[in-house]
Amino acid sequence: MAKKQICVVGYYFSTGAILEAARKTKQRAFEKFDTFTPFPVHGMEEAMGMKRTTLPYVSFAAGCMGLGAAIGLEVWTHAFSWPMNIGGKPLLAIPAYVPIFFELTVLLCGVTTAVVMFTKYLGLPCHSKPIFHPDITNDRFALAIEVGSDEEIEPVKKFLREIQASDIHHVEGGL
Amino acid sequence: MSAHPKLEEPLVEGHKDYATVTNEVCKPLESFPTKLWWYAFLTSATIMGFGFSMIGYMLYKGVGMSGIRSPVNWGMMIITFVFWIGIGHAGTLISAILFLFRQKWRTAINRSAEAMTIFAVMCAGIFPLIHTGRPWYSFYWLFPYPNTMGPLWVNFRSPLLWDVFAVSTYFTISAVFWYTGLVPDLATVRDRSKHWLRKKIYGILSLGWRGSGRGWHHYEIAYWILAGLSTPLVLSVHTIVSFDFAVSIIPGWHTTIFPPYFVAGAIFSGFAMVVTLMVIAREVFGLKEYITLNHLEVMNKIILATGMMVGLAYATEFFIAWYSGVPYERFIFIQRAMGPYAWSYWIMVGCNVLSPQFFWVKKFRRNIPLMFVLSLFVNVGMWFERFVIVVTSLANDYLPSSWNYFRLSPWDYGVLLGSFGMFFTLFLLFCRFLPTISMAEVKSVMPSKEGHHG
Repeated sequence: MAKKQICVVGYYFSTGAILEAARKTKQRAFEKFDTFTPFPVHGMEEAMGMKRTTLPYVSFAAGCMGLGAAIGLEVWTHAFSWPMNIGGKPLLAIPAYVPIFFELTVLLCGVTTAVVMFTKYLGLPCHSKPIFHPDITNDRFALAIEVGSDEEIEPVKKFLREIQASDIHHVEGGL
Repeated sequence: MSAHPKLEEPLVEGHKDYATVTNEVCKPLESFPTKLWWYAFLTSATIMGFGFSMIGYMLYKGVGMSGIRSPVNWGMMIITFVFWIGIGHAGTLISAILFLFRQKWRTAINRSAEAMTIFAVMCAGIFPLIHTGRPWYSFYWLFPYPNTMGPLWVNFRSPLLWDVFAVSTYFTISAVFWYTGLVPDLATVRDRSKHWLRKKIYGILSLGWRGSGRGWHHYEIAYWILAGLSTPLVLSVHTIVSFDFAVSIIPGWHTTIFPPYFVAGAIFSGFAMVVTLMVIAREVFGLKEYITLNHLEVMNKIILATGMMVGLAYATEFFIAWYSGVPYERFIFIQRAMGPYAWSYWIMVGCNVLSPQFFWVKKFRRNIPLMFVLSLFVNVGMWFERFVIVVTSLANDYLPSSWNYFRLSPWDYGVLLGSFGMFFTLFLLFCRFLPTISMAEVKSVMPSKEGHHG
């Protein structure tokens, strides 16, 4: 039997209101909830009780790999594979290798950060999750709580009315 | 009530709300392009086509069609390459460096500036490829691909190769940064789309973005990381480009001032191009309340500051050449100002050092026709700076018996013009299909309806 996923959604129209709603939702110990805003709202991480992202560690690891790749490439080609005397410069010409060390570090770090952020952390691209309201990317702020069965919808809607959400509705699909 | 005596001027004028921002920024994408856009687009596309046919003809007949002759073995191609790379740097500075300094005013111009960077780097990238004469081999000659010819490797100790890695990395990271910033706005355009194909295309491009709060957290951190990476990257790219010259032994080239001088010059020319584009775009697309006179004034101040740095670099070079006592170095600087290329030297000095001086006066900084004209002068001057560096030093180097006068050939002019055509064509396409202002970022720096809540 597939687990049902239903999102109960309420709307707000200012950053202050959505922050307050997120705080109250967190206080009520709802675990599966999320806010949807047209731009990042300052203070939302604390209000929702989010743990700090681990993305910087991934970036650092990718940067190290970029540096390792660059060192491996330059040192192996010029000191081992086909060593050549070019203008009397040493085989292990580290100062001359530094620009490419830097560039490959930045390249791998940057591309990996962006790709991993979208795919692993945000789960994008994903075209199957419901878009609650087209104005979320315009000027509307939404708070959505996920429930697992039809019986839980009404109590959650009651909670959303308590915290002054507008246009409350529910829709099939996950957060 | 603010205790600060000076009222902070609004970043977006006109007391707008979020929906108005969305409507006004998306309007150029959603209405059929105006006659003005079509005239501009067809003109620049024609120029681009003309330039490309010049390139095709030159490759067919041989690279000797350009003016390059001994001793000036580097000509229009490298000048224009450095010129376009330099222009790209302002975009990254506005997006990344101003972001790290938390300068909120950048939000109105960063999307267009980053687009300008990407298009400028694309225009620049043509030149290393075609100047080889056989661009279909360029990949084999420039990239270290595994092979059985020894194996044969590229020379990693050469700045020409550092350039390959630097420019490729710069293009890739700029494109990634630009696209990452675009995703939320593409979602906005998707959600506004009425036609199913438009919705589908923008839907695919926006990756299914929904604005989730948890998502925004990771997204913002990624944005910080990309900005933090782009900052040293932009400094390093033009430094590496300057190494093309600085690691040589030619008088006038072999100086350690080149890296900071080139980077300052790049920012200078890039901001001038941003001013040129923004003056036009805000007029044509009705974005004057977003790209305000305050934004343009700050950019003009930066143009003034970097122009002064470039002027200082000219003076320093000249002084150190004299102070060094090296006769070749002393000679080349006198030759630049008074020799056969004096005309180009004084165009350069007039455009780069003298014309930005108008911007000391506030009235002139806020005068649109004047700043447009001056930004064009600066662009011309910066192209001539690279001309002066490349051509005068090569034409009059150590042995007088090797000296010769270099002239650009008609094909050089054609390709140069074509690169401008390509740049403006791409920019016009960008204005037509993508939001020119970063809506999400502008909204995040606008005051919220009920005032700012902590």
